[in-house]
Amino acid sequence: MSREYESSKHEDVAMGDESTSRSENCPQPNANRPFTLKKWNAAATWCWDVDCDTCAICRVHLMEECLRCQAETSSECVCVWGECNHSFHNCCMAAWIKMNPRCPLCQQEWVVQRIGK
Amino acid sequence: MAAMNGLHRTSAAAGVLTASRNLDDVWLKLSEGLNTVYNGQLADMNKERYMSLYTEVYNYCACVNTSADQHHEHRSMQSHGADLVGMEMYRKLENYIRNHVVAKKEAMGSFRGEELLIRYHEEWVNFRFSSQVMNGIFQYLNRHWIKRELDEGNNEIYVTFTLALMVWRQSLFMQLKDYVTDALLDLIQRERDGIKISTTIIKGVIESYVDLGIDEYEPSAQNTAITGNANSRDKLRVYKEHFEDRFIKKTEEYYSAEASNFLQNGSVVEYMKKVEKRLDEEQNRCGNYINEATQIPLAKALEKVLIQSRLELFQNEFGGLLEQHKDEDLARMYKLCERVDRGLDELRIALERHIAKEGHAEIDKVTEQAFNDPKLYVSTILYVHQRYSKLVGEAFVNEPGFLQSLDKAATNFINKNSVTLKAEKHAASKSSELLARHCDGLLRKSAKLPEEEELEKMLDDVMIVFKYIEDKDVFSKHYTKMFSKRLIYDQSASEDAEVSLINKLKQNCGFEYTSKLTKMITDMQLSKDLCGKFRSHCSDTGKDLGVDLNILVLTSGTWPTMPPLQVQLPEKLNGCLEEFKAFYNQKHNGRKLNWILSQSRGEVAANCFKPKKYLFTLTTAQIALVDQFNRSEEFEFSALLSSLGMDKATLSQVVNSLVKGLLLKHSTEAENGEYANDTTISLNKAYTNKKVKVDLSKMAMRVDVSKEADSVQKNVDEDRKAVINACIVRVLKMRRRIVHNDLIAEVIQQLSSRFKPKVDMIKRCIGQLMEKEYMKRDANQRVSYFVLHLLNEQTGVSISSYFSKLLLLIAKFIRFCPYQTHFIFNCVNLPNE
Repeated sequence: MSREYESSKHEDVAMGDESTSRSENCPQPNANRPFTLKKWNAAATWCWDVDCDTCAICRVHLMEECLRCQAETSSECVCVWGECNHSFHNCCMAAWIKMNPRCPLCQQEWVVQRIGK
Repeated sequence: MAAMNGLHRTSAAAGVLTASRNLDDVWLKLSEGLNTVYNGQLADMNKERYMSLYTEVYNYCACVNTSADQHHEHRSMQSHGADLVGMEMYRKLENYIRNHVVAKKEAMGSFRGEELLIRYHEEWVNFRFSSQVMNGIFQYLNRHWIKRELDEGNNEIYVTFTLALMVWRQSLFMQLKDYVTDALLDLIQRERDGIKISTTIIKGVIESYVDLGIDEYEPSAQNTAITGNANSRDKLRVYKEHFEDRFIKKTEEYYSAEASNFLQNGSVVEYMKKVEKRLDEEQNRCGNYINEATQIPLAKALEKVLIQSRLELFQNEFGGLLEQHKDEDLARMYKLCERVDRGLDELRIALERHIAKEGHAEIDKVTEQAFNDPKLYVSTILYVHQRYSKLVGEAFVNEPGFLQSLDKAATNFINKNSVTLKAEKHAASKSSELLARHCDGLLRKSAKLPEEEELEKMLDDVMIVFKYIEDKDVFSKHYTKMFSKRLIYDQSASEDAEVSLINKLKQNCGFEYTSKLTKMITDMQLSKDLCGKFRSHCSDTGKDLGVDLNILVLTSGTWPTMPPLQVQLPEKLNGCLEEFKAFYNQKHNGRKLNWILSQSRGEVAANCFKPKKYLFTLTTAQIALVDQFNRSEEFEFSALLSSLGMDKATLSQVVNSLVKGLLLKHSTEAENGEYANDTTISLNKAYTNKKVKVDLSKMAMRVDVSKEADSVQKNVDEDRKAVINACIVRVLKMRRRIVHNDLIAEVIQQLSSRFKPKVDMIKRCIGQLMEKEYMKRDANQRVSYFVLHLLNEQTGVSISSYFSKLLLLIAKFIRFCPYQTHFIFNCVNLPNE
């Protein structure tokens, strides 16, 4: 309990310093609007904008690196979308189209719509 | 060679007459010489005399040989005729020595005890020396006639020095040996009793035993006897037979009696000191005047009577010594018991039992407080562990068996104790949870931050306990959850310390165990950069958001799931989010952002509470709520509900948090945590606080710890099943065919670093996998399995060709990182769908 109290005190000081320095240009509260937001720490998660979140080629979740990248600890393993709107790991797909230039799921000819970044 | 032998023999036979004619004359001179040598008048034996005697022998033997050269045509003569020459002289010599020795025996035969020893020793020293001189005189005989006899395998002929020793042994030693040995043993016993004795005589006599160990059936050994090099074990036959065996027996009797006497009155502790002293003494005795070869049998005998036969006594005392923290005596006991076969077994068991008992006892003392005080809990565990790891290190020199006892005991009391039992259904994971909370306490910002080194030491301590935690996966879950909170709320005291602990975990459990934690840190860094860029983007484009905005963008799947929050944001905030989203989509492609409003907080300035201006830290829901009060000072609950778009329970909670924080007032109390629709919520204009900055966000966020533990536990079982499935498939992939029990054993072994899988859970997983036709029961043997899909049946249409390539990849992959299991599992999954 006491620790929590102390920590909050500590934190207040730290945050206060920052906010005063940065939010000078924020509007000040007035009689009509008693509450004014000074600072906001928001959090968000990101994921690939996909319909199916597993790569049908390597069966690994698209948010994780594909098998090959895991093994080779390469840095970036992004997602790729075809015109058919099916999505795979870009490196999985790169290997796939060498054997078969069609989407593994719908057999349409594979045309890249966009590559994740 | 044969021709030479033949020549030699013929010639020797031819010289017989000359030789025998001369022998009596020669012997006359020789026996006079021998008298001088053997009767203690060696002073008279000058160099000339010695040389002349040597020459006599030489002439006697050599002249026969020379004369034989002239008669080499008589080759048909009997070959053994040659033996006569040396033989006669040899026999005469043997007779002479025997007479001498028998006389000596007669002279000392009537003495006993120390008197006998003194005489025996004196005579022996003289005799040995005289015999060496004699051996020199007869060297020519040794080199030729005797050597040839030996070469031909004649067992009854010896080199003259050996002959002398043999005669001594037969005619004197064998008659007196019992008395001599008795006397030796008496003397040694006297020394054991603490009386000072002369050790030179004992040493000399014992050396005679060793010297006499010539082997009459082993001609090649004879030459070594003369150089005194007969110290290997079988050369010690005489010594062993006539002294060592009796000595050992006597020793056993002596110490067995002593031990019984001592233990009647003395304590075991005193006894151990005594034994230690006695072992030392006997070792020195061996080094001082008993042959070194006896060292081992003597030590064995002592260990047998002093330790082995008293082992039970030691074992009984061990527990008491542990209780009383008598580390020194424990060390002594360890040293003694270590010497005997299986001497430590019982001690190890007793130690394990004791440590476990102590551990439980210490934890029992603090059960109530420790249940909610992770620091106390961990420090209690560490207290016990440190105490005993010090003991094992110092008293038991980190002997592996004892270390194992410590580990087993620690595993026992850390994973199951009165605190964990108090957690009832979370008993199995309570320790993991408390340890994770302890880490959180250490790494969180607090008023009194420990020094860097101190903190490092504390983290090392954490790892000691962590090592024993059985459910490391549960720990990871709790830890990740708290870690994510520390990061999101910016409560982490030091990034270095965070990274340091993550590295320690990685060392212990491998890369995969901490990969998510590492990624979380990366996310934080990326978000920080991104925010900076966003700010400069805003100032570049001249946009004023009207609020200091910080945004964390976390990789989904890496962070623990966070509760969703449905709320209608104030317009200003919505604007911020839209602005950021646009910016983000410029930077990235194909990404979707999900706002986790439950994890967002902000600061709100308020000027409605005169005279001071306050700065409140609020959660996003609270912000949305107080923003409503910019429009009016009073609302009906239902009005808030509709304008904020929140569900009743959540809004009630938020309102309640601000009521408790005294910012708002309500007209009626909430019932069952929910407000009635017509409850009036109004601003508390009379709000005052000594502080200007007030954190109200914690009021809303306080989560029930046990509820959290619930949610963690629920996930754990599901995750474990997946991990077990993956592990089974991996084992099958490598072994192809495996017997049921081996499979289970292997799975348990592979997973033991992360958690302890229950056998029935594994069985259930096997069942599921068979149902899904990943594997099959062997038709011939009821209980072995093999992989079904991997080898032949590629049912996928277009996927199958790629699938076989993937298999190669998997094989490679397994070698790379054995921890990454579920990917492989996923692969195997492929043709089935």
